[in-house]
Amino acid sequence: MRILVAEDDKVSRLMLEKTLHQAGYEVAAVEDGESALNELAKAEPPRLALLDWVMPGRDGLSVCRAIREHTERAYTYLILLSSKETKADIVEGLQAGADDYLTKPFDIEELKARLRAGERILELEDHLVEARESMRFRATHDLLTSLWNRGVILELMNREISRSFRENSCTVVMMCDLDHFKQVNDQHGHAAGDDVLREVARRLQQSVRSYDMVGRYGGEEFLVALNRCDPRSAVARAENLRAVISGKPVLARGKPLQVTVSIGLALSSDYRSCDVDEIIRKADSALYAAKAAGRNRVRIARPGGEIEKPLQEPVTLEKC
Amino acid sequence: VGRFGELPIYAKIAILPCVFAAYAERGRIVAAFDGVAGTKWDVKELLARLDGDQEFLCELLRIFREDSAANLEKASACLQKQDMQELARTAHTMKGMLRNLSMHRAGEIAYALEMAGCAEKGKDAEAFLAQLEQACAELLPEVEARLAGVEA
Repeated sequence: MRILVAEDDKVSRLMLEKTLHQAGYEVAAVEDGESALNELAKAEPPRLALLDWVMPGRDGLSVCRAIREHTERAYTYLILLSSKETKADIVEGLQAGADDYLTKPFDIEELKARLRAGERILELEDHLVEARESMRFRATHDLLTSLWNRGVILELMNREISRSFRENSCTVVMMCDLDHFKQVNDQHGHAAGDDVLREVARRLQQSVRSYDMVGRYGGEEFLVALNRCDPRSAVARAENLRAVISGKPVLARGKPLQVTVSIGLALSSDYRSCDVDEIIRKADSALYAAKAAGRNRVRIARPGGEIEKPLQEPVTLEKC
Repeated sequence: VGRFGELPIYAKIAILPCVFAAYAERGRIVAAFDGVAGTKWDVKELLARLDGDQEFLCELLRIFREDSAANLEKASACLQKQDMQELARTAHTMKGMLRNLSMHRAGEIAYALEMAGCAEKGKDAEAFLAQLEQACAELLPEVEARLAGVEA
């Protein structure tokens, strides 16, 4: 584990460094409070810090206070080092945000024991954070495909479409549905169906930009939002997604299966007076039109209930 | 004060309060110094803390040689400027170094100097600084001998 030592006296600093190295720690040593803060603000900062109370510029107390203001960062276990040892001093140190306190000159075994106590607290914190993140992931993602789940994709889409209205830009909503997916489940089993869903999800996710959104809407339906998209390129983007799915067989339980997708599009720039649910319904009606036209194709919903087809259609239609 | 007996009687009467005051001040400082006790330098204790690492001991002693001189100079400059806060901070740094090196007596004088700085007692600080300079000067030959011994 990495540990930060902030100590202005060179002798004390070197002795601490040596002791900590011997105890198996990786040490980052600095000589004042400002440098300590810089070190703790880095991308992967030390999780344990030994801070001298009295240092030039920012003292140890001030460093403790500044660190505790950043509640969004991973927890840093702070131990104050000082020769101040009255109860009032100890209380002041702990109130500033220190977790523990060592009076100088300290006993090496006591120092090691207190560091081990700090490590236990950090391990506990890591476990809690891990559990929280896992719960957060489960609450927001579809567990089979790891895409956003229905609730989250709708919420995110709502936000993006509202923004597109404010900024006078365009969000393209795509409703994608795997063609004849029931047959995959019936003929090859549900495990193969799950493989297909996972692979289609992966291909969709990889084919959009980092700021676009893909979610599982239900069963074999996926919802894609292309944010700040030029309306003129919407059909080409949808055709690209369709080709990505149908262009290469999907390995399901080790067997290659030909899979195709139908896509219905709606552009937020076409429906400025509509809410998200209405725009999704428009995309859905375009999807039905794509299915009715033979599947493995793209259709665009236009104002007035018109459904438009792309200038170029796929030549051969594959069934899965 | 030493030539007090040679002065004419009227002069003796005139400066008597000052003499008393000087003695009182000296007594106060001496009393404070008497509290500064302890071993001059416990090398055995220091080596035990360093796991007998003589090379590391030399590295620390070289730092002591440089840093003690620099810090004493800094403390002296602080005293001249009457910057008691900075004086206290410098003394605090010295105290940490000296205690870690098991230079107990000098460490305690540095502590007394730090306290005097915190309390803004200029005269006490002056006296403690002189004591600290002397304590460090007394330590230096031992430090040099230790360095020469190890390096040889």
